[in-house]
Amino acid sequence: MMNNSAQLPIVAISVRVYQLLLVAYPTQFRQEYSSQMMQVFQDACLRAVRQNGTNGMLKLWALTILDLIQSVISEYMQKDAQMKQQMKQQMKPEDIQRAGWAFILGAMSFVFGLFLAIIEYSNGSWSLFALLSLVFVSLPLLVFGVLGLRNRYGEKAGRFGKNILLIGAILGPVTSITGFFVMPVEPLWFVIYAGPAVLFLCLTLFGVAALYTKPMPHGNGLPVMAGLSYPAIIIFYLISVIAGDSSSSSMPDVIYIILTTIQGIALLALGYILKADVPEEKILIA
Amino acid sequence: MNDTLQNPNELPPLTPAVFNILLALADGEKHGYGIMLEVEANTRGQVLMGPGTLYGSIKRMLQAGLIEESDERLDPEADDPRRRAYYRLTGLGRSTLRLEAERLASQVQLARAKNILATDFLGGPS
Repeated sequence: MMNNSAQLPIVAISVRVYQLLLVAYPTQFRQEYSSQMMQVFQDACLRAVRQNGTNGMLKLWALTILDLIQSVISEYMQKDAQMKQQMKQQMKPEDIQRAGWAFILGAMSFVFGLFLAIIEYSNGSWSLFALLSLVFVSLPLLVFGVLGLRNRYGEKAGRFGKNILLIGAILGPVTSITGFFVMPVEPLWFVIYAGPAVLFLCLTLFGVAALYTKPMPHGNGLPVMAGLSYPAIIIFYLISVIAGDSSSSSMPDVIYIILTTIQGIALLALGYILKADVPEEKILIA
Repeated sequence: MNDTLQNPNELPPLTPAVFNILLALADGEKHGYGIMLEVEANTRGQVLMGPGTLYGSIKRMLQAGLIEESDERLDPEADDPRRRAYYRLTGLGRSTLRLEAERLASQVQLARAKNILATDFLGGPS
């Protein structure tokens, strides 16, 4: 490929030395462009020698060394910036949009499941559909939604807000999975329902942080509204059990329904904001 | 990788290297060394681009969708089989070049209005 350089030893040596210097570039850049860069450098060498002899080569080398230093620094800075960008935002914009949809679908499934559970519980029975809807359908969807929320607004919400969402996304499913195995044990049957409560509690705490840091373009009060009701219901139920009054008469069903409706609307709104407020990917031409 | 920009207005002012490469490709596809020679000629030797700057800029311009690799040779006489890649402007690249040229032209007009430039510079006042 580089036959001409063999005709002029100074060019052949220069190209060989330049080839060695290319090791300074990041590997990916070198793999993509080193052969083209060597070809260009060889052509520049031949032209410099023909026009100005050894002086031309010296001038070319001076320019090339400066160019090498400058461009190596630039490539590593670009690589570093890309890595930081990837670390900051591990989800692609389309995944964040999907997370918004997951929030919306999770909210619908959650509200449906909770309404069903309230109706069945008032009738003194138990619904498998409610359990499926609340835990096995809505929880995975809401976890994905929460992770999207964390990716999109976690940095702006601050370290506490970002970390509490991750804790919720891990502890929520872990609690429900644990609850699945301890379900036959009579006092612990409700633990499976506590998974969403843990997730929502963490969402509420994120919401408290969001009230101060305002990471979202609007509706920064929504995470608190979206997270507060269900943990409150579960805690109220636990207190009732401990107090020896586990009957639903301690809180009217209508209160449950109002709380659940508020939570459902807030979750839907949160999903809509996440779906609509997708970051744009931009390349800096520097 | 979906990094391509769709709107040239989204771009910040171009660096001299990127602007000169776009300008060098404005009248047809070229290989790397051809771009380097054209830039040198266009700037009367004031911009001497080394291979590192040239291919670093080309890489970022490819990612931004301003240029693309060309498989076809519009001018067979200009073909050099030793070259591994020829580059040409995309539609976005041409629009971006035009916008940047207009921006620079307005800057020149402003400089002329402030008596920074001689009146006969670049053909005199409009």
